[in-house]
Amino acid sequence: MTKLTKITLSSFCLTGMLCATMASAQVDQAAVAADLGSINNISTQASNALTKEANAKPVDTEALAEAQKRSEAISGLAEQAKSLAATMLSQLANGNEDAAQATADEIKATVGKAKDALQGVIPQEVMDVANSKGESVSGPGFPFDPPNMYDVPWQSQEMQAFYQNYFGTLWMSGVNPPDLEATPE
Amino acid sequence: MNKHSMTIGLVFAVLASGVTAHSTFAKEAAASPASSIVAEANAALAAAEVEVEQARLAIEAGKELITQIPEDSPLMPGVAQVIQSASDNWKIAVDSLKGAKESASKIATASSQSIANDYALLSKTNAGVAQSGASVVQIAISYIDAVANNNTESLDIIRTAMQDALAASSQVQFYYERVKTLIAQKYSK
Repeated sequence: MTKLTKITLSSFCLTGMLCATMASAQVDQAAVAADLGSINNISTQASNALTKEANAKPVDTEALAEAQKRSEAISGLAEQAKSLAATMLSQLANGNEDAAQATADEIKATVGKAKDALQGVIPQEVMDVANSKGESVSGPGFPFDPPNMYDVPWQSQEMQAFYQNYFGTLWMSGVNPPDLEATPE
Repeated sequence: MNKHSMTIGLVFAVLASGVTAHSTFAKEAAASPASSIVAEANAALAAAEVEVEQARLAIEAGKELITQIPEDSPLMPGVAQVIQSASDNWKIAVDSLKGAKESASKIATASSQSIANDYALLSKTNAGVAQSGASVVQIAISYIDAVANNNTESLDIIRTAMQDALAASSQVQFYYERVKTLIAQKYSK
């Protein structure tokens, strides 16, 4: 084998390795967003199942308790996924692609756990996540978290979370802005 | 000389077949994630269709239930809000299911596997929006059922479930928009 052939072969090998590395390091953010959507969809299904048990005639208290447990487990997993998503964005911002990919994989695994929980398969670790939820407050992942439907450039996830939490706290407090006269009398 | 040439030729033939086999296996391996997202999209679409149909049946039943609630019932304002919510989410469910089917129809005719995967992802997430909207509709009708049948013990549970479902379904819509934006950004570069 000539020297030129050896150099050419080794160049091809290096380029191939580099391409493989680059491809594996790219986090598919669209897929992650889809996973987060999936887990919230599973949450609505759990709420629907809970409602059906609550409205059954007659009410089966054991089935109702089980449905409640599943719904709580899935809510906990949805919050966990949201938290992981924030972590992933932070890792991407710091240029840590490998860690971000690992976090994206964790989010995917959380969706799998939510699907299992909907069928009643709830390991203790999942219940621990649900039970570790604090008191309901506003902000990302809580009842009041308005979606940014208009794609306002929030500059950062932290800013978005700050404003959503701010308005969410206002909403949760039950205090409405006072009605003001259009023109002061 | 001929013996050497034959040996070298045989070696190259073996190498070439090895490369071809590897590339075939590589293509199959690469195709697995692609076929996985398409399968997920099909499953999501099927599930959404079932949920939307159940919501439609619930709405039909709800029309009868409404007539059983006295007009002077103290729960009437709540019922009115729930009906409005059901109406909004029914529209979302129907429109999203239609959108999901449109995206799914483009998978087979996509010009590349990458574009097919994007259509599959759009279909899957849009189907999720349809399914969650349909779930909210069913919860709303369950609330009306509870009021109509004076099932006051269940009302608190159903009310909380309704709030949770509304919050979660708004998140599903948000993440669908996010998926759409990210995919659009890919092709605008």
